[in-house]
Amino acid sequence: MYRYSLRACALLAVCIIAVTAGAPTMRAQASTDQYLNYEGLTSALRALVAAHGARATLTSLTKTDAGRDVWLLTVANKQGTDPQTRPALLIVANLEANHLIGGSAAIATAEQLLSGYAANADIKKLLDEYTIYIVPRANPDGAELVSTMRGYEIAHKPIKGEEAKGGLNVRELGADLNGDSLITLMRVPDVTGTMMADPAEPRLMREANRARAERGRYMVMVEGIDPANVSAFVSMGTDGVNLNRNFQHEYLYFQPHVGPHMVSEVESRALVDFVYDRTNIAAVLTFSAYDNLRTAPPAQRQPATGVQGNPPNVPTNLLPQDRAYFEFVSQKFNEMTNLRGTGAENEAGSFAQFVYYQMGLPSFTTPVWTLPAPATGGAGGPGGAAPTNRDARWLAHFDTAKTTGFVNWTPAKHPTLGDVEVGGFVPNARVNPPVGDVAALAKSHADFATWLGQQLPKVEVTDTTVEAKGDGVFQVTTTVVNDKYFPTQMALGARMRFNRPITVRLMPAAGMTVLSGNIQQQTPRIDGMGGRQTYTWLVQATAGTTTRIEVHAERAGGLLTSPVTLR
Amino acid sequence: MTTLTSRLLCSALCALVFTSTASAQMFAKPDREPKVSLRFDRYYDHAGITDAVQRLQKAFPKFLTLQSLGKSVEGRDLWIVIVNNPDTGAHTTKAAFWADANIHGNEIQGAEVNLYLLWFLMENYDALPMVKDLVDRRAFYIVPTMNPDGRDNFLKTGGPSRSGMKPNDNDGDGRLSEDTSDDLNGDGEIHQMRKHVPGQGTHVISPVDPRLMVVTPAGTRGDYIMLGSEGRDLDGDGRRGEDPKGGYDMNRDFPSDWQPAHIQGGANRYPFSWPETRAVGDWLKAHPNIAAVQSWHNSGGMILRGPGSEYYKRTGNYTNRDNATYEYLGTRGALILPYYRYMTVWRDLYTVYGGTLDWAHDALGAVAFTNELWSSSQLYSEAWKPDGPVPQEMQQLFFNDKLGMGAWWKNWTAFTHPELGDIEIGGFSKWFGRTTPPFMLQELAHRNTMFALFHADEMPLLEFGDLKVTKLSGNTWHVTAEIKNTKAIPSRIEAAEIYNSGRPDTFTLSGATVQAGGLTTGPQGETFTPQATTPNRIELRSGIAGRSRASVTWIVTGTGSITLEYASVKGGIHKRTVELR
Repeated sequence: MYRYSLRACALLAVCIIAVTAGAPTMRAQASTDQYLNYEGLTSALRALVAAHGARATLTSLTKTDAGRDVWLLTVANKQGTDPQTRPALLIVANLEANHLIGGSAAIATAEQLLSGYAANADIKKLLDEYTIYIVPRANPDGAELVSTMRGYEIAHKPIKGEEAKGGLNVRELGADLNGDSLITLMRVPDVTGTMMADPAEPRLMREANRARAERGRYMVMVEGIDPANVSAFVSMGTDGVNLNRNFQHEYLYFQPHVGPHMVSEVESRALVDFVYDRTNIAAVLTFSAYDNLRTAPPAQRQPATGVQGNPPNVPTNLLPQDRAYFEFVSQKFNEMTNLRGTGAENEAGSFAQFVYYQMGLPSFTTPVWTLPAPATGGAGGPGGAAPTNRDARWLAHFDTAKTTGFVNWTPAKHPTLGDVEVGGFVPNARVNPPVGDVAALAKSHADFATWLGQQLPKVEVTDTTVEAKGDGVFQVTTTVVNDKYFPTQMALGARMRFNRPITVRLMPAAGMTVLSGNIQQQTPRIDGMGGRQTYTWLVQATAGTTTRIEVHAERAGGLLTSPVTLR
Repeated sequence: MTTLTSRLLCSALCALVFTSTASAQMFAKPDREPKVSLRFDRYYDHAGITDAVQRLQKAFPKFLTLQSLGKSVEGRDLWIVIVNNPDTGAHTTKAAFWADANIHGNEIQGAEVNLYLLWFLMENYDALPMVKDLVDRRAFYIVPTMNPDGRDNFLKTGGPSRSGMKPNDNDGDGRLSEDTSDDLNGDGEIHQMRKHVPGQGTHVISPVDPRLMVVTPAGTRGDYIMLGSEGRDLDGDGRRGEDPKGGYDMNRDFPSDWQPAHIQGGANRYPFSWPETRAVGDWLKAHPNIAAVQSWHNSGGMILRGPGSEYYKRTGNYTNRDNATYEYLGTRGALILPYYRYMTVWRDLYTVYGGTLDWAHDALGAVAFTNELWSSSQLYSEAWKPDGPVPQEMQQLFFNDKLGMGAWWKNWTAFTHPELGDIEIGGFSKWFGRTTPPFMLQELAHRNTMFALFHADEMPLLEFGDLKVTKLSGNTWHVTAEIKNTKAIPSRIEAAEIYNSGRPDTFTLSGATVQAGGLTTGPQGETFTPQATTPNRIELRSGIAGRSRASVTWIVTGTGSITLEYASVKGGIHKRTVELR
């Protein structure tokens, strides 16, 4: 109800955009202007490549509607095997327009890998044997909108053709009434209002519970000018797209900010195509508002409200065999980063969900920074215990950390409503941490990415033998081994139409006839940690015939060959 | 330089063209030659379709615009023909009827239906007032073929594929389409292969007819083995023809109720992933005036409507109100189309995720049908009985012999196969089964065109109804205005209202100060429900229902004249000026 009133009561304020676009620097921490804008990001990436040309390449995944590049940084030692055939970790960040911390963590990961190559044996091994693809800012148009409209909390990018309105529907903007360059909330004393100050935390407003003898005293709406424009329509798909709601799995059809349809945007299309086309990508790490690392996904989850009815054969939970891997990785993440906190859900239509549920790849995601876990012993609540309400916990955190994450309610004049009070959470303060915290957070995530990269599956061909059975008949045997942590395929991945199983072929040779065993043999999945599969053929050929065995191990090493001489 | 002579010549020529257009009326007066000679007893390949639409456009330049939506995978143009009378407004201001065809490469006859539809509208514009009315008041967006690559593949080699022609790695060996089927004997068709292996096979020749093969009973051996479709093992992996081009289904590529390939076979990575579907999707999204969508497929004789899946919105059906619109059109369509049944995709056929129908309905707010053209029961006599004079297993061959003079069967013919040695090639032709025989094609095209035009005619058509201006006092007036929809399809279907697709209809009063306004209510229309905000612009989220009317009342203060404007995405913009007196 509270969320609804926010949406429905938002305001007409096109004229105000011009004011806020040139707004003075915000006070307090947690402002988005301390993060890189597009130009800064581009220079930072170019500088990295200039300094580490032997192990870094910058290319563009696609051009956005506004003509910006979605940068792809490929980090791998260019000497040795082709980086495009090595098992690869893809890191994607800043899908939500205002999730700038994700981009910072992604760039920090790149920096740490590139500058640590010479001195750190783990990093050297990683860049010699694997490839790390990094998309630090999947949503440059959205991020730029955030940096030009600093006072707003915007998770979506402008939609093509709607640029004149900042790409957003007029309903969803606000106007700055109290001159702090922030769009927060306004509360209006009103006998018809249903909202009241929460007695446990009077700065927070909540719905009055009449059954508990509570009386509503306020209307609460987004800070702005024209609360009457509630019935203005927003046609489906014209309200700006949150890219992390634009993917195929559990897509929220016809809901706000999901786009006109799934994968409607050039950015989302480019990402999906990239994961399909680069068949060496073996795992994906996303820095986004959705978390499955602080807390591993539960065995039984409730799909997000609004997800359309799906047929029973669409998985909505991790397969049990796969969940064991997600749990282990989550445990390692917590050990390595020591980051505890409440995992954020927000998974419907997200890139991370698509990667597991429709590509069958290991897919991990972390907001990098989120509501910190309450200190043991309890602080903040009036009774000494930690508040359970998430917003109250945020307030307690801001109080403890002494950061300005909340604007206290202060009187302001509204042109038609008269006396109102303006206050609420500082836009984006719950999304991006104070800039001073970025370095430590980024480092722990870079460490985790370094570890994760080395767990990717990688097969080797061993023990290729030929046994002469007499009369020109030979038995050819070979074994494919995976010594890394991850299996060559998640259990769910083995169901996927576009994932190739491990494919082993004894290549045809002149005069050679295969007596038993198909020329081409396939195995859906080879476990990690020493998992292996043996293949055998009985053939007839002239002694001395030479051929080779080809192993296609998509996402686990690419094409490997082993020579065979029949003798 | 323009001379007097050339001007005279020009006007003479123009007059000639005009006269000739005026005389085109070949359907009403079948003794006349049509202006454009097109045949409907044969199938055109993409080059033939291109020639046909170009000739039509040249002959009727005022009404027809020819554009390319884009290119197919193999670079063929995706033609769209826009039918519109510019004298009555731009096509984007009118309710538009969309018809596509042949999204499945081997389902070819829809292109002929679409050519016929264009040709019929143009040739009969002058002679038949109902045709003139449709052309003058509606727009038509006609795409003769959505899959020209698949079409030409079917026509040239007869590959059975419904797919487009993008090379793919169907056999998972890392190479793209390196082992396709192969027209070994070069007769332009892919038939069946059999090998004579006396006493070691699985089949014997049928005692009923030597052309037929029957499986031997369990425990016995036959004289033949069946070796599948014509082809070789082009990639040396011991399998024949396992990696053809394509292997996907473009009618699983639309973004409503979409599912990935491990749930919905034929789906790709995400919706609108092929150049053909993307080009079509972009056009459809850019033309919200489309109120009706028709797709031509084959076969089976069906008028299909959505939803495609039983899990659709957890109900497996459209809303009651929308359902009633489909029922109205579908049940009448079945009368126009003997041998066709009006059916719901998932309930009566099979489940389809990501088909054209649901997206057209949900996101475009259009009423959408897919016809499965042609039913073999049109060829087979209704007098056929399983216990009749001819054995049951002879049914197809009987009609092949007695109606086709053997055209649809290739007798088993010896062939030396590079891998299989001496074999025989034969069997039913690609022209038998799904494809309408030439002598019945024109009837099929005509009847389905009539169904399409019935659907097009029932698109919303709005006009002003009663208008009352009553003086309350001084300069304050009570204004009641009515808008009528004279057709069966509402100006906004309920799905559009629920999913918020497209703008709602609006009724706007300007030229006076509006004190209040809202939908007229009460048994006599004596009162109204004031709209809370913007009383000058009243929103009609449900639009105007089929064959129905809506009324809005305003209380205004002013003098002189006011302007009323009814704006509907599907129903067009209608303006009227009224004096306050």
